[in-house]
Amino acid sequence: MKARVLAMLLAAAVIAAAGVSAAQLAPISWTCPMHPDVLDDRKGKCSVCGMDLEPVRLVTVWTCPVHGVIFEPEPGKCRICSRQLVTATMALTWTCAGNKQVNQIEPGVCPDGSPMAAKYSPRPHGDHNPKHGGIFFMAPDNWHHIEGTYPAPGRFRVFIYDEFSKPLALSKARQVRARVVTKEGLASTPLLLVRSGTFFEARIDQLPLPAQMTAKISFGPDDKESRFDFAFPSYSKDQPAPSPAPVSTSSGRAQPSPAAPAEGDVAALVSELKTREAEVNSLVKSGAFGSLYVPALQAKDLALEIQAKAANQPALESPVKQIVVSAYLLDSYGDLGDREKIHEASRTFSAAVSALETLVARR
Amino acid sequence: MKIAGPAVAAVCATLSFWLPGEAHKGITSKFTYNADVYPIFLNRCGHCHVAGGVGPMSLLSYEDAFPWAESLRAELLETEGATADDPAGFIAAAHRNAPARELDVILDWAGGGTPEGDPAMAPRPVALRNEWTHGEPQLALPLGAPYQMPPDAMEAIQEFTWPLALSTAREANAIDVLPGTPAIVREVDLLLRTGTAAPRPLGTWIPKQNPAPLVLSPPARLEPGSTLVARVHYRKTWKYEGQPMTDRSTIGVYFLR
Repeated sequence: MKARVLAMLLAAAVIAAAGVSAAQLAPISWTCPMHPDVLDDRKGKCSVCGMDLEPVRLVTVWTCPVHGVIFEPEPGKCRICSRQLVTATMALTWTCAGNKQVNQIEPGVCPDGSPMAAKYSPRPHGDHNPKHGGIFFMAPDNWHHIEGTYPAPGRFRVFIYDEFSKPLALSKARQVRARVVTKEGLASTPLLLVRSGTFFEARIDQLPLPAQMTAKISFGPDDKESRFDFAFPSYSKDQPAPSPAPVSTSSGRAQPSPAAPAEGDVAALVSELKTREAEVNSLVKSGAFGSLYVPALQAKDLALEIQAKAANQPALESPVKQIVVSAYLLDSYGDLGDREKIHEASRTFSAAVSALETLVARR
Repeated sequence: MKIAGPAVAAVCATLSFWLPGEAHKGITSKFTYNADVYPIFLNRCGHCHVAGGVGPMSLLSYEDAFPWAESLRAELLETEGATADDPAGFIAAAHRNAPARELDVILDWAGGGTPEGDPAMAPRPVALRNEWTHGEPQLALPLGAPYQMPPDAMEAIQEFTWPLALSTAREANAIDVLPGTPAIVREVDLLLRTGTAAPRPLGTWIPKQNPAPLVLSPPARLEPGSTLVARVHYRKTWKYEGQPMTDRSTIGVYFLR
């Protein structure tokens, strides 16, 4: 017993010396060295390739959308460019300044007696923040990311990133074929890679705001086109957009409500559900597809709660199920930025909410 | 003070399991396979999605089920009915009859890191059940010889016939199929040929979560000299690609008393 207490005290001393408090040490997850998007909470084999999973500590840090070397434990501004920091998921390890070969998931002490330093490594899909003030989507291939910007009238740009949200290598960028459509049925305009290879650009008609356009992109020579729908309420400024969080009401758009659905009687729950529906519709209309999942998934929880409280109404099953399915579809399509599919899912969603409201009113 | 690195690391590793911390980013679902998802799979899917069943994978163990999480999400969120793979829409209908709450559990689990849950609640293995669901039929008609599906075939439709050796006409009110190799028997069209007339369809048997014979309403009159026809649609899943398969299914007829 005494030995165990002593060992705990020693460990605590080491952890404190490493600059990490006991409460800050993130738990261990398990990931595949070849497929970093495979994550589990216990040791095992990779579900994709069967390799042994390896331990990793995942933490949320604040980083600069442009200067990826900046890591802070709290929100703030980048020390290099003063941009607002954004959150990203990173893998935390410890290393020694004099020996980069050291890379372990436990804090410790270097051979020279100095405490190990924390090191943060990016994770695939750990950063979905726009880097140029635009609109950020994940591609359906679950590997690429893209960001569209509308920096000036008639000028549309697309930045393409890898799975770590880093700019695509020039050799890979040259394999991309992209075009932009401002109205279906009209001819598309090619998006051309600029000489530096940092983005693709097209000159299009000067559209009134909110400017809507669709990028159609093949990421490789044999890949089929993926569709990304953009709606720019204003011209993009090369400052990071806020992370998907409540939108300012000063702009007149609806503000997503707090996460927890309300408890209470059925009428109050239906009222909350209608509020979420309004938020979904507002986000769909404004093109803020990446934020759709918040009110959509809150709405399906409310619908299930309404169904549970109104247990003597089997007719509720059909609209509740429609709300559940369309909420998950809005979540999926919102990440992909496919406006057509989003609109279809939101129509189904709204119709189901109306049907549920009608049935509840008849009780 | 000099501290032995491995000993410290071991202590830290031990300590880390005791420290409170936020849930790691991979697992976000509040549902686990063992406690919440398995009972749904057993009751809604386990007849077909069991080892040796007609489904392309078993869902009745965590190791079998969790790699299919994304496929499950896509299938359960699919809004189309009939497809080229499923022209009559039977599979679509079977896959989408879960109530809203169960659907939410599966989708939340599949998209939220597919946590396994408490190992103490891990389900026991479930074996395929392949038996007459309505008791022994009065007339059992096995295939005359086993059908051999070649290794390079993934799909085949075979027609089998049985001249009915009946001394008098009898009324059949149900007909069932007992697959010889359930993994490849996808559906069976049943017809009755009487005299020189074109065969009359009796119905289509498909594997279901709650298997039951095909009810013949009104009952079918089986005349002496008539012929029962079964067109069996065989289909291999990816598991059996490149393998020879054999089937000797049996058709069962139930007569009105």
